[in-house]
Amino acid sequence: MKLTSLAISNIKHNMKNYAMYFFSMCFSVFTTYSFANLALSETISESIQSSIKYKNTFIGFGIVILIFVMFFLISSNKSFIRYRKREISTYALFGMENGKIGRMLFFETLVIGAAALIIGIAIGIFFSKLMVMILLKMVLAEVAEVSFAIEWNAILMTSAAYFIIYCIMGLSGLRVINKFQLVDLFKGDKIAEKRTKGSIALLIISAILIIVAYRLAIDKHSYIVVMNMFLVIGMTIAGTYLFFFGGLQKLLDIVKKNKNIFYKKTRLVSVSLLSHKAKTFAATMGTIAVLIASSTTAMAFGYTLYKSAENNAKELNSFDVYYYGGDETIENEIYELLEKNGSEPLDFIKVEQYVTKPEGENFPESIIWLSGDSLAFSTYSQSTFNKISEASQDSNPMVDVKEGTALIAYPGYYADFEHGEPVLKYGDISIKAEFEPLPNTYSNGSYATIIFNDKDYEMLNRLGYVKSNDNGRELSEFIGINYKNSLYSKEIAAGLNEILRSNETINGYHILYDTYIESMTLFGLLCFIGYFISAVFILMSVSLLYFKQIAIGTEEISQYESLRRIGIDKDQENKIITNRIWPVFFIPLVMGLIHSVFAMKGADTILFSNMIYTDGNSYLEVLKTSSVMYIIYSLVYFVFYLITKYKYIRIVSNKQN
Amino acid sequence: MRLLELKNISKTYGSKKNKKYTALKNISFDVESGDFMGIMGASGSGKTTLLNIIGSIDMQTSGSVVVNGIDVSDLSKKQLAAHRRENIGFIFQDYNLLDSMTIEENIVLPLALSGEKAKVIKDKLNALADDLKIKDILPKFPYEVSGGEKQRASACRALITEPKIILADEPTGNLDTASGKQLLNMLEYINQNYKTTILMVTHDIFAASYCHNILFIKDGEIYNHLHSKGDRQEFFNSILNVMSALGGTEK
Ligand SMILES: Nc1ncnc2c1ncn2[C@@H]1O[C@H](COP(=O)(O)OP(=O)(O)OP(=O)(O)O)[C@@H](O)[C@H]1O
Ligand SMILES: [Mg+2]
Repeated sequence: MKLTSLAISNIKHNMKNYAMYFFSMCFSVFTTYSFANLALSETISESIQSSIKYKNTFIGFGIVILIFVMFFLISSNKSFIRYRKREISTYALFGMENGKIGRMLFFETLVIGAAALIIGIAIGIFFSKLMVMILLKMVLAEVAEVSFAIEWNAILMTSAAYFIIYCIMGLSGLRVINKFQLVDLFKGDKIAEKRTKGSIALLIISAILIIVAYRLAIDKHSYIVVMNMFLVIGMTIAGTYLFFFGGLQKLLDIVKKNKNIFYKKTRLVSVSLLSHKAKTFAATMGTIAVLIASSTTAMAFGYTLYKSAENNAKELNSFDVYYYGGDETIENEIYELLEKNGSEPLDFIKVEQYVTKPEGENFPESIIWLSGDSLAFSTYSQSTFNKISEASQDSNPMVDVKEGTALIAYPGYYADFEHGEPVLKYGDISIKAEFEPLPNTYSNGSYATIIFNDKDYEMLNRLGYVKSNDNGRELSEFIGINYKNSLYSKEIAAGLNEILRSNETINGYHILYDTYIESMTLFGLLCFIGYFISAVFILMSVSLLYFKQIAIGTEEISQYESLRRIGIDKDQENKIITNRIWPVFFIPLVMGLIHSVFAMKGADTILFSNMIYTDGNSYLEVLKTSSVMYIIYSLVYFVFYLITKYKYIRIVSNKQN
Repeated sequence: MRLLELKNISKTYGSKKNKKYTALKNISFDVESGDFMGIMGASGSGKTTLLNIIGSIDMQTSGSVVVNGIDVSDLSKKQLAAHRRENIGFIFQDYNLLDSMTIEENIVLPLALSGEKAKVIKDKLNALADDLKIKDILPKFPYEVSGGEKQRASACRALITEPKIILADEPTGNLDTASGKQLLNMLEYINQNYKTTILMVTHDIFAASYCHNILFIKDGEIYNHLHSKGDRQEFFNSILNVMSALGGTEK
């Protein structure tokens, strides 16, 4: 009986210390509930009509969050116990057995956990409507009337998950207590850490690992980046941990050896204090750096995808709507539809389709593989192609093809092929070709489009190498139309679908609006989840640092007392504290951010360079959008740094409790 | 030359009226430059309090401490910290070395904090460490050396700023006879060769016999001030007499 009331009074007593812990716990519960709620929400399942499996996405990421939360809570709990060593040792001294102390702490965990669970879910319910609306807004779904609903299943799932986590957490706490010896408890304040000089080998190995990983990540060939992705991630993580487990100490040791730098006023103290604790901090700092790298990358990636989705839709698709075949009645129907909905056609193009089947030399394997034996390419003369380009959305470039050469429009991975120059052969005519990353949307299903100089085209046509039928199948015309408000009118898109779907003369069509909505749904979803997870990560990482820092702060009180007796003034003390704390926070931050910058370079090579068409460097665009996320992240991080510093100052000036 | 002047120092602990406790009452005395003064008295008589007030670690409730003609209470907090670092060296019973630093770093700490150049620091350290014969332990951490070595390092740190006064609070309290004697010889050497004034609190009559004169404190007041006539054995005996008169039973 006494145990429970003791636990309650402990919580009351430690209220301030529990605040941070409690806050991050509430937030994790809130996130878990929100994810479960979104996965189960009826409104969302009605609104998101795309094929995207958002439910599984939410549940999958929800589980990822739970796993991280579990590790985070266990580790915070351990730091917290360490921080309370003195209190715990007093119980032990008064004859309370370890088991009893453990049970008391376990009970505390459960009480705090239950409170966090209730509050987190309450906040989740309170904001559930808002969450649904934000998500729907981000995925551009039709926002119908969102009703306020409490998902009992979501509550049940969340409670069950956290109950299990609390139990595991409590058990790990019990283990920590059981390993305590009374002597250890009292030594708590003055644990003589082993002298750490770091290791030059670790420093070099970690530098090599990270540099090689960076080098692989910035390779200009996307297949190399893709191939090495897991290697790069593995090497970066290993390099990061090794750096904190030995490299950092070595750097500090080098500073210490250089007395001109080391014996500079308060630096002597802060560097010593830091290097003294470097080993204790190693695991936490490494974990923080990795968490920061992954969460900032997730945020920057999601945000960039989302930001570029609109441009991407326009640029990858040359026309708002295009189709093959059909006749004038269809054109008229479309025009009527546009007019009825307050839109108007902006561009119109109609061209005949032709194919050609050259013998290819030095062709990329993938084209040969994709197109089988037939190797049929859609083909245009330069002037027709330019006419289409002119009519298409703004950024499609004009081409200039010299006589006797050809361009092969092949979007995507052209740069990866290190073949000789491809040559097109028609009997004894051979034409040198070049791959160009041009949009291939009006090629009627062939994998690439060949563009000839007008004269060559005419000659090939005359010789029968350019055909208007493919294996006997007569080719239809290509019609491309751009119209006003293409991305914002659901009605027009629906009308177009109606017209084009039911008509047998149509050999295929594409409506930009549909693709756009699909990609916005996907990217919006990824972005939404990315923000959430990053928010959880940032909270977890800063709380980890916070607990570690205050736990170690209690062990450093005596150091500051000694300093004061020797004679340091308030300014010097503040300087020492600042220089003692900031490296612990900002070395991982800088490292994580640099990792992320390189990760985004890799993402640019694989993905964004194909999505964002700019005159200059798509990576610069990526960095611009990413830096928004980096700045937001750093600001939040900085606030937590200030909170931790404040708390640390209170601890080492013995103002605590 | 008069280095230190204490005028009517009183110290009361506790702010609540009913819980007030007077640790020092109207203490006045002077210390000449180059003196080696001992302070003795029963436990709780206020020796540490007195020493802390002289060293400006603690503030007196009334009265004034004048060091070298300057009233310490006129100094700002910043000046006070600098004064403590530069004019006064402390040797504590519990050494007060920082666990996170090597002996060398601990010794140079006051100089580094004062903003001295690395070159100057190194020169001073080398000269002093040679002179006081503690070169061997410089690269070690406090937990790697013995108590006696720690206390000698602590003395070395007290001396490195070339302070006018060294305040030692039971410096031999945690040491065995041999290392205690070693430390006392070192203090005597410092007093003679560096002309540093030393004030030492001690319970140990043997340690006290190294001093030139001894101030006895009883219940926060000066009980006696005993001067040595030069012979250590004779001084030892007269200290013993005062001690038994005081009612102390130490040694
Ligand atoms: N911070 C404090 N608050 C209240 N009372 C104090 C404080 N510090 C010391 N005292 C009291 O003042 C008196 C003198 O203490 P002081 O530490 O000066 O004694 P001392 O002579 O050094 O004793 P010892 O030989 O045991 O070290 C003691 O009775 C002590 O209880
Ligand atoms: Mg004392």
